[in-house]
Amino acid sequence: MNKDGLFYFSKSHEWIGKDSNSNKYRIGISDFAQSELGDVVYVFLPESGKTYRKDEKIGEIESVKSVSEIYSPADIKIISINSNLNDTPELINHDPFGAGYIAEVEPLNPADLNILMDDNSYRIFIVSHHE
Amino acid sequence: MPKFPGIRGFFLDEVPLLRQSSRGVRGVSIPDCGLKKTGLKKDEGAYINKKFIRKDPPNLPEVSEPSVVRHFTRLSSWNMCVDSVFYPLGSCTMKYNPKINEKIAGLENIKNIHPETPSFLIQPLLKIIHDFNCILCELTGLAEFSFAPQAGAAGEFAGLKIIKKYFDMKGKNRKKILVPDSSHGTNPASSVLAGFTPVEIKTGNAGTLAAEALEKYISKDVAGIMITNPNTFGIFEKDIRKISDIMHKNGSFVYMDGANFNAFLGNARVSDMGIDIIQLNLHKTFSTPHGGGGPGSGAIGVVESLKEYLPVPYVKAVIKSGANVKSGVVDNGHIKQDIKGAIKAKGLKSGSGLFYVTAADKKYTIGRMAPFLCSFAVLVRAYAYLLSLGKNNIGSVSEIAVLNANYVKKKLAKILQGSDPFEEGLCMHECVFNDKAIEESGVSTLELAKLLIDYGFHPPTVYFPKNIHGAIMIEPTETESIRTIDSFIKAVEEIKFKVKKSRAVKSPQKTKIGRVNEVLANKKPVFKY
Repeated sequence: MNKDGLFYFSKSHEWIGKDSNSNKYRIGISDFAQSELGDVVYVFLPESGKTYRKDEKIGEIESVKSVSEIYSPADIKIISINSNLNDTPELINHDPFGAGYIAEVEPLNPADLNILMDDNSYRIFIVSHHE
Repeated sequence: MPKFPGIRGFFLDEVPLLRQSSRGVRGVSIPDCGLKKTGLKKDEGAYINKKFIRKDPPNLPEVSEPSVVRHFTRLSSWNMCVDSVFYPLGSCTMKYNPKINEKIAGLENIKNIHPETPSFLIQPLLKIIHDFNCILCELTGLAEFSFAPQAGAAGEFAGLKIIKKYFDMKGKNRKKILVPDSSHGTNPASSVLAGFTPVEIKTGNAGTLAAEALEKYISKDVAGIMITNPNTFGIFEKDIRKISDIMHKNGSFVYMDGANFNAFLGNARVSDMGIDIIQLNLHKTFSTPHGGGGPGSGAIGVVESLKEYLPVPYVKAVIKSGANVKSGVVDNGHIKQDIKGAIKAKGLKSGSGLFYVTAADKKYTIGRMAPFLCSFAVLVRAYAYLLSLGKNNIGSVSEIAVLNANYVKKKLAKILQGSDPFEEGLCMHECVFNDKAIEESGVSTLELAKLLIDYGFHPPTVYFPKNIHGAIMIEPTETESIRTIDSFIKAVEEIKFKVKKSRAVKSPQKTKIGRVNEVLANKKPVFKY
């Protein structure tokens, strides 16, 4: 996982964090989430330009095991989507925090991110909920 | 007899019939009729509009009879089916389909009936549809069934459309359908399709929906609840009566997904649980063929107050009083029938008796869902199944189904220690395990499923329900003997304690096609050869 702790995690295993290159916020699903899902075969992406409330459904991920919903980790506006996922959804498996991000977003209220979990608390959360 | 049915594999390859074609080969040679003169004109254009006449002959395979027989026999040998293997596919009720059903459905005067045949010529067949409806009403306690939906999910859709129409007629716009996460996966999709918004209810660790947990979801916007009972963990919803009362108090309906009806068939009536609408999957509980062997049937049953909302057409029994039957009855929606004439034509004596007609006179009907009445041959199979069991034995179907499932549950709990999420209680017709114990042996749920194929068993349902980690869901059904079930349990035991990872990742190895690349199959499916 990201070493500089810039990633914030939701209980439904999405992350939101600042990309060090572009200095913009991105969202995605966690490494734990992708390993639980198994091989991803299709991603239903959110709509560019649309705003979503925290915990609102923004998309779907279909893996060989099942279809799971993606929830917004915070109140966000979608700036652009990662359209590479349309052809290569496996990016989510290979690089969930990098090339496998879901979308570039603008948090409507950046201060709200503090109520999410940081790396460490998320790790503890996984262990205590999914031993 | 070997310990396991799966020993070696021997498969014959087979290519599509078109590729086996040789010019001029015929399965059957019909001798020349020898007649020189014919009244027909040579030019087909005299009979058929020119634009419909093809220039080239159709590309049909030209093959001999043995080639055709071998073709289909070989293809069938690649298949794992309920006639060849134990098929414990949880939530699907893959019970054995007794061959007597096929025999009855295959009778000449049943299988060759044209759907437009006038009622008076097919009275016994309409009687079957009518009487089967009555039996289902007796088994469920509901008022009437419709056989228009051709599959389980189509039944769900019909049920929800009925709810929708009910509120439309009352001028109310209720938008929400409550769907506990322990209900069947199709339920939320059906509610969306019928124009509702599904609201998921989390059931928590107990595996059942507590009436108290329901309360906070109740509002005047709630049209109904879709509940699966026993739920998708194979556990009976003990609060069902309370749940129904809460819903009814709110003026909402209780829709029950009857996919798991095999768990209490003949032992409990859904009307006593307060259910308003149910779909019964004839291809599950009533032993008609599934899926590719289909078509299925998701017969939908309703309480008295919703009868007028059912799809049309349907079969109605009218009382024939002497020669005085005069009501003109609509047949298949468009053929007018004169019953009086029909009785006369059949040489029936005047007097009391029932006459069966197809009718479309449902006041608030949601409309037509199928081109004709039903998939008749499916109904005949289900009817034959029930009659061959007899009223007094129907209850033992569910008793043995539950007994078999609990036998598997208890035996496997010893092998897969710590993997039964509901270890304390009993299950109904199916049991579910998580992957904790097999993971300790280095085998994943998927590998367990694939390995079981090599042992000669169809895999159980895997990774469903979603809230059980690496779920393995087993439904043995009542048709399996203890010998078969023991053999299956023994196979799981061997996989847990003996199988090496190197073999697990490569399995299945005895099938014609080994491990399929599921990612590729999902991303780039090839639909033609």
